[in-house]
Amino acid sequence: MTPSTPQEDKLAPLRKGLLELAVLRVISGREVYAADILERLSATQFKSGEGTLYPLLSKLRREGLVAYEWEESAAGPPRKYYSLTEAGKEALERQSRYLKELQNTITNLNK
Amino acid sequence: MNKVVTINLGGNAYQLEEGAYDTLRAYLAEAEQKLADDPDKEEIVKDLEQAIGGKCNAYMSAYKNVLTQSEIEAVLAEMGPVEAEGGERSAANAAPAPKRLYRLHEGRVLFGVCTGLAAYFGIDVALVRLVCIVLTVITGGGFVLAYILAVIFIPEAETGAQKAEAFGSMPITAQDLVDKAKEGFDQFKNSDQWRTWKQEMREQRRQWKHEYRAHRRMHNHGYDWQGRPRSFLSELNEFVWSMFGLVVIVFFVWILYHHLPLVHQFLDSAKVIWDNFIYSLSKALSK
Repeated sequence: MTPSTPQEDKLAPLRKGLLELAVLRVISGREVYAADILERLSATQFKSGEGTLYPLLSKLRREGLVAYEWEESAAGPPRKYYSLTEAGKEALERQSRYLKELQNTITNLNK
Repeated sequence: MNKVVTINLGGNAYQLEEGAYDTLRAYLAEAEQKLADDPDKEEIVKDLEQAIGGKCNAYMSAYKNVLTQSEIEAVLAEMGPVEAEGGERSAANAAPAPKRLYRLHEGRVLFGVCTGLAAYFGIDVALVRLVCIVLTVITGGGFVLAYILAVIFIPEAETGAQKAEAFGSMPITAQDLVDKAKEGFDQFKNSDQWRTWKQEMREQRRQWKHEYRAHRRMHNHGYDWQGRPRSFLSELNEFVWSMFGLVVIVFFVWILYHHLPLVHQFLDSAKVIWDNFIYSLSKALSK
């Protein structure tokens, strides 16, 4: 989860910067619990813990990109069910496009 | 065999070994400190606690209801360190480390004024206490008033961030503070000074006991405390001396009561507690 070689360390800030986009993308698929997001990310490079995700989700909610509803669950206390707002969908779209542009730019820089 | 602490995570009770509890508390204190700038701090911490509770359930069964240190460590590793959003900014803020005067709960004797001062100036608490006692003696108790004012006006450090501010150094977790206090106590316990003192006390106690028994024996055989045959006069003599001792003690307490506000407060509150006790006792008996 946390690579420690110098080469890998350079990649960590990249991942960190893209985590928001990754989370928005997960939520865009369907309404999810925080636990679902973590599980979806766990098999990817974006594997994170609650310690990272919860503050991020709360920031996204403050910015109006995601919203949540309380959902009663059969086992345990009510949980937050997250979905993207219109602004969230726009942000996801914009960020994805920008990432592609960056990718293009970098690919073509040697030409 | 370990002491067990019961805690509440997201509305459910969990039992943790003491070491596990310390670890968890340090994690949560650090989380609060990292999220100090986050307007949703309370909510995030609550959610984190609930998530920790959920993960703890995996280690519980019908036959096991106490979490060990290594289990809590595994749970917290899964949670990952808490990272503040916009953490760059708050990390930069923390660098010059604001220093504030707080009262510190950890390692305190009375209200934590001395521990707070020691943390603020970065000196040993013992030194601060010594200065306080000397000042109290010199000012004839007037310094106690200053202490009480300090208790009223200096806030107590409650969150991890405030505790860090009290030291003004890089962030310190509650765990560090506890460790520090424990270390100091261990050092004191292992010091030669403490050992000799304990030895001497034990010796002294043994001697007193011996003397007391000897006196009792003499008394029972009809002699007074100086070994002379018991008489009315010697009984009277003993009675007068014990009364004198009592008067001296009462007088001393009376003096303290009128000159040290702290003693005043203590005795007054003790009286209130005593009155309440008698009142409830009489009510219980009259039923």
